Amino acid sequence: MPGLFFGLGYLETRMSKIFDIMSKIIYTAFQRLNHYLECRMSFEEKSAWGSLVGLLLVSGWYFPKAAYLASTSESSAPLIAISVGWIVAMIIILSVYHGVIALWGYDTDERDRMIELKAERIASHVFSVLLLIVVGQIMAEYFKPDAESVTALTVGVAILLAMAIAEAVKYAAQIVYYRVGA
Amino acid sequence: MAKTKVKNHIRTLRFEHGEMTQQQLADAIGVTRQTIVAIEKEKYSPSLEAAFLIAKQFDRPISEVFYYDE
Repeated sequence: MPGLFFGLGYLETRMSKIFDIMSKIIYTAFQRLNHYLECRMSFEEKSAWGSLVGLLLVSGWYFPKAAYLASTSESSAPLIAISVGWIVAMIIILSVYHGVIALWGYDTDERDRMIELKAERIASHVFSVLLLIVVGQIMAEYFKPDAESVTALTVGVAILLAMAIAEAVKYAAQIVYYRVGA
Repeated sequence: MAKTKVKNHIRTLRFEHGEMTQQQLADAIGVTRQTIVAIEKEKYSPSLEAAFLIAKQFDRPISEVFYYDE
């Protein structure tokens, strides 16, 4: 029995040392991340990074699924459901992310505003071009014999895709301006 | 890295003014510390208003803080 107690005591000491080391590693990593984020990025830059990653992840799930449903599903209900899901997911992810990064401060200034304006200008050109492509596609479909293949929902998804690409371009342009210089 | 043609002596002036930190200068003129970093590295040309405020902090005319590299 004393041997068992000795063994348990030894195990407890070892485990406590392991937890101690792990907590030190986690604390140091958090401190370094905190320092890096505070030093290197403004709120708007962190916002652009998070929004770009969030948009790419959620859209990477949504658009292939939406394209598949638009081409195969008889009913429009599943497409509407995942479209609503896409919007809700984006709102939740971006709200939580911005809430977290606001803990490091949320100051913005003239440089942030200028970078945002420059990035929005690029994104608006991208959106205009993509919208023209969608309109061209609709007009081309109109002259085909099976014109009913283009529904209001598929047009809606195409416009959403154009908006998502333009937004992704905006966030990417913001990141480039922050990193390279504006 | 795309450098602007507007150059400056901010880093030197900060050290001449009691080793003023970037954060202190940023707070004084109402911008973020990252913007001061970008101005010092000549990755961003400040607005005229910000440039005047920076010069005022160092009690120098604007031409002694900023210059144009042709």
